[in-house]
Amino acid sequence: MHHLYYCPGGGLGHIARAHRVMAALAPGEPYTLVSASPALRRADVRCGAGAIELPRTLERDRTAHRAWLTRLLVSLAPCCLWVDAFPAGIVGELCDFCWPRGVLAQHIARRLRWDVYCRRLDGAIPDYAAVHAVESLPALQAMVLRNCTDTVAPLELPLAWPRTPSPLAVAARVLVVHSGIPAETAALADLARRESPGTKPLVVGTDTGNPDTLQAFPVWPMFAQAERIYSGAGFNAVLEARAAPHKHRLMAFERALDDQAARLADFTRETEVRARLSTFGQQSA
Amino acid sequence: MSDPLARKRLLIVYHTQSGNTGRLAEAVLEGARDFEETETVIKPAAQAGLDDLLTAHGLLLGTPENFGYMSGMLKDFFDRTYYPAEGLTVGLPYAIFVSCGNDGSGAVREIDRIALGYRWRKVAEPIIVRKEITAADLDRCRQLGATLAAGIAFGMF
Repeated sequence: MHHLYYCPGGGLGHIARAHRVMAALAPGEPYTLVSASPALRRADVRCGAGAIELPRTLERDRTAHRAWLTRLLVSLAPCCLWVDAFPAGIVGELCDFCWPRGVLAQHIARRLRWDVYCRRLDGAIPDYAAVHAVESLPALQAMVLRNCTDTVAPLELPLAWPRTPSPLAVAARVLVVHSGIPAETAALADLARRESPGTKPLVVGTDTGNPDTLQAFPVWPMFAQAERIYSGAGFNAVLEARAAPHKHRLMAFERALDDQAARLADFTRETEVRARLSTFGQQSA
Repeated sequence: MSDPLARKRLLIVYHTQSGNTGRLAEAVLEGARDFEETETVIKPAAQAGLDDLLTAHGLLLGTPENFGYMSGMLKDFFDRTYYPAEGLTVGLPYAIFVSCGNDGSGAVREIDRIALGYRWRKVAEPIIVRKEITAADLDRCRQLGATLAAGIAFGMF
């Protein structure tokens, strides 16, 4: 039973989600990640999974992309193909795609800027055996996904996943955790310094050009000892923040297909509603 | 985590004494439920609470007009939820339906004043039904329910 997890996005977040999904839905089973992220070359990022780097040259050529993927599926013959985040592929490479015989395709749905994403599509979203929604989806996205499968279900992902190396021996009171561009990391670090004067935050990220940046994956084992954690409002960051909202400080960054501002607004409201209901719920009912 | 595929929720809060506002509420509910993309929840004002309000994406308020004002039970719903919900329902789309003997504008005006405090957004004209309820009135109520249900599902408000 070998699984193929197709996460063509270039960010580390797709890979972290892949590990979480596999831990939740195929625990203990072998899987291979397909991603354009250079971080996939790191053993700590692969966490024991197989890895196939998606050639960057395919990004601009949907036909070549489709052919590449078909060859991959036929040659690997996975028992299950998991399509992360983009139901019709990152550039529409899965539009009208016919899954090779014997491949069970399932989609992991996270929030998308649907109005932007749909402009990348030139055909129908392929059918899925099941769609698993890992966070709140915009109404239009949810409606579209209901039309490409008979089974749509919410999926609660774990904070931790197995096959993780031991927690790093580095402990910090204030953490800045971000794998985006250096300017975004700098903005988070500035905020951390402003809010915790006199403290030097430990920056954990993917910026190999900065000697002060610690390359570590996954980062969540470090959270238990931290008092404040600063990060963007990507999917994994918000999932991790839910476990201890008082510790986390999130900042939404602009992304082509990910609506971090909406995710952050939902998270902030959800946290506040929970607090109010806990305070006033009984007396107002 | 709440159900990520949960439909958006329309909340109908009403009070009825003689049964007239109750009939209007049923018609509003019928119209809203024609639109399956939205989940519609109906609660008598005395049973509606903070959690109902905080999980709603749209609100329909129904009341008789008593002494030129909304019913005491609807006012009680506002009293119980106003401060606990402060700042958390800003922009909530709402509309009103009223049954009354001869005017109805007093109830609407006072609900609107309170809604202004919550910073809700009125998205449809109020329905005021005076004296006997006609089939046309019930039709208007069905349309109001359907309008709110469709509007919140597609983020039109």
